[in-house]
Amino acid sequence: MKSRLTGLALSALALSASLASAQDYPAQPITLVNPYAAGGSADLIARTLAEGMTERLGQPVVVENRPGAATAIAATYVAQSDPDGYTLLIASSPTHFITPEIQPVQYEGLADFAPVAMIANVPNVLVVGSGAELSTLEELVAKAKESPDTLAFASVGNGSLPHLSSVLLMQETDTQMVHIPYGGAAPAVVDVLAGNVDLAFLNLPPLLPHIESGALVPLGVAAPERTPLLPDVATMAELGLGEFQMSTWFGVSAPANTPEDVVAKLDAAIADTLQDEELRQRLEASGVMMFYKPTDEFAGFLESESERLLKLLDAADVPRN
Amino acid sequence: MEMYADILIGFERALSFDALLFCFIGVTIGTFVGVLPGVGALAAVSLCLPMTYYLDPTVAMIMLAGIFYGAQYGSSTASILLNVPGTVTAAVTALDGYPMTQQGRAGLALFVTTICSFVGGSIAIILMMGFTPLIARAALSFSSAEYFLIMAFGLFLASTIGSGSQLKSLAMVALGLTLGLVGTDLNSGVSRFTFGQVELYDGISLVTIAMGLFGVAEILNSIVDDTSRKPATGKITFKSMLPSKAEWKVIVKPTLRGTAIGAVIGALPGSGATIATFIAYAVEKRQSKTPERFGKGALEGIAAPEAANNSAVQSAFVPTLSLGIPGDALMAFLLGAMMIHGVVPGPRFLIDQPQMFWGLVASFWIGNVLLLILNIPLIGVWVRMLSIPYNILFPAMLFFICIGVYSIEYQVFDIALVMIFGIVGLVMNRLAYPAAPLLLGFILGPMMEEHFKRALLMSRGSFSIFWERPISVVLLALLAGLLLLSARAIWKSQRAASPSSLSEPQMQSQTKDTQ
Repeated sequence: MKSRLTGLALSALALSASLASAQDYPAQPITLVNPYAAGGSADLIARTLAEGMTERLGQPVVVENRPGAATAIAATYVAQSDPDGYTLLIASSPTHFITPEIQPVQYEGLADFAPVAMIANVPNVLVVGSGAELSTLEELVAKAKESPDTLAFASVGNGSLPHLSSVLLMQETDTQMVHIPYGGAAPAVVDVLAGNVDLAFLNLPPLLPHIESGALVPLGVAAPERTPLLPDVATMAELGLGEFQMSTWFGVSAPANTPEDVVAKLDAAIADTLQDEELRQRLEASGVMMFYKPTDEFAGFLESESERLLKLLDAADVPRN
Repeated sequence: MEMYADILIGFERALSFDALLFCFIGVTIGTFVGVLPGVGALAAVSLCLPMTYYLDPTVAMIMLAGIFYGAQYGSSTASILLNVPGTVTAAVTALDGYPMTQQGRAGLALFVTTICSFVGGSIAIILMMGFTPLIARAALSFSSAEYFLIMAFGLFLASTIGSGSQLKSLAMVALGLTLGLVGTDLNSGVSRFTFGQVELYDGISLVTIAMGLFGVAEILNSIVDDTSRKPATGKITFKSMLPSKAEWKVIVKPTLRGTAIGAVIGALPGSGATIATFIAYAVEKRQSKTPERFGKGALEGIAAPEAANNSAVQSAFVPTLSLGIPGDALMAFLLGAMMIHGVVPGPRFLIDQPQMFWGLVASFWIGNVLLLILNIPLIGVWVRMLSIPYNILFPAMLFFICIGVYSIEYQVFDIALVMIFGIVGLVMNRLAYPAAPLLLGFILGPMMEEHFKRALLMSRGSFSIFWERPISVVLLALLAGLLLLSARAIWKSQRAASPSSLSEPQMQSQTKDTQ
């Protein structure tokens, strides 16, 4: 009985907190949950963003890394948090549609989150090892057509963006290649370098030193525009592959039912943070591109992106939960 | 000659005041983190990363790396004194270190591990200075077929680690392999044995199993059987810590062998210090003329694995710094930390930033010297820890284990899991089933599966990939030779008809009943 009373009192408190949030938000520190391990691109984005948001919201925004289970641990945690704007998630396609589709998780992908804003993306770049003696996408496609199933592509797991990118490439070019999944980008890069695997679409940052040394040859950028770090490498669209947009994007989402004005306040703080030129340069130097979209555009993007990627998951024959 | 100039620049950088100061802070934090059971270097490094944003990149890396290798020094302390390993690698040191404590030789054991850690670390650093580009290139010629064979090699050795019944060791290897199946299958993306628990999608965490089977089990064991522990007697003098001439002689070769094994395996991205430590111990036991001494306080049994794990953590920097390829989660983290500081490790790192590269390498060596100076006087302090009543010490240990396990992924689930494995470990202990082979089976199983499947994907299903590559041929030959050797040993022992190894497991077990 006592615990029930406490429960009632607590929920009343939570209710009053969410009512009050309209004017006073934020009245306490905000936690930005990052589903990826410290030290990666997502961590860099989260920490840089948190710094700027802290300045603009007048409350500390603290990054908390909760990696694991292909982002499901962090996403579940945020989806089940109070929708008061004090617990936010670094959103990505795994958190919102890929993982809920593949793994039996305790949350609904899109329905359990209120999108706040899109922040940035990290381009995926198609690379081959220098030993493969391929220097253009055309040559690669010709080789793949000549003898199906002889070329192999690396990915960072079944259903991962690098996997789906290669599936899209095979679809668009009508080719067949073998999929070799890895536990992460690092071992995949090693095998492309050593020539054990022929090609891979991977996030640019870990590839950059090898592209500079000439050990990896970039054939195309799977992003809407070229990256300033590789100004001479054409986008896949420029290479005639149509809407080949497979960059790894990161946004911010709140639990579903977060009050609209709280979301608007957060969106404004994010938008203003991303205006900062110094911050933009810092991120771009690490291979991260600004990709801001306000709340409504981000929501629309999530809908269409979800549809597109789920179709690719079907094409890739990834087993569902 | 240019290299010598670079090394000099490196030492100049590493000996500057700020570098020295942060190196000292790093290794000191590392030592304490290592001593605390379950609290790993990864947790400590990620806590310290934000603090380093305000430091010069070289100094920041010197400090973070210091925590990492400093933890290897500290980790053997609790495992030797209390049979509660500070990190996974120290579980191996406990096998012979704890019996030494029971024999009243704790000071000696701690002294030897400190010296062996120093020697192993230092030699690996020298190898690193001379051969980094070479080692980096060699690491690239290891592919899944080779990794699979190395793991098979390790698995074969795993069954020899436990003392007592071979059959029980094998059963534990099999159990370890089975536990390793839990989690998402990399190739298909299907969850296996997760029972819908999100926390299990990535498999059971290694630290949870290790801390449960070794740490928690040991604590529970002492509750069940309170006669098992004798309070520490006598004072530790510096003299009682020093090995005798005969003892020095015993540890020289195992230390060098352990160093070599650690340096080679540590430099291969993705295998890491834990495997190197286990293999070093198993090799030492196999080639010993008196393998029955292992598990009962053999000096070789602490010298080789300690040299191996320190050598491995140093050589693990080779692929990270020279290829930009991190071998494990911690290296990935350090790599990320460097990138945050605007430094991109990779093939051009050595050429573009010689000052930072050599400064870092030089600081490793200075850090090792600092650790030596720090750890030897601390031995007396640690040994005095034994005189703390266990009803105070053990709850504190349990508390740290829970914090440590929780800090990996912030999962309360993991705390429950470590307790379950503690109970499993207690039962195993009582029935004389060794825990070390289980741990190695658990580590190697998933890696073997991954590399086996990948090798076959690369060859498009043809098994010839295992004998078509030069390195894999050598490994295959070694494996076959080892199998033949042990087949011969079994044949011989059967002819001699001594079933003793099967009939007296109780005596040779990890239980402290004999005390």
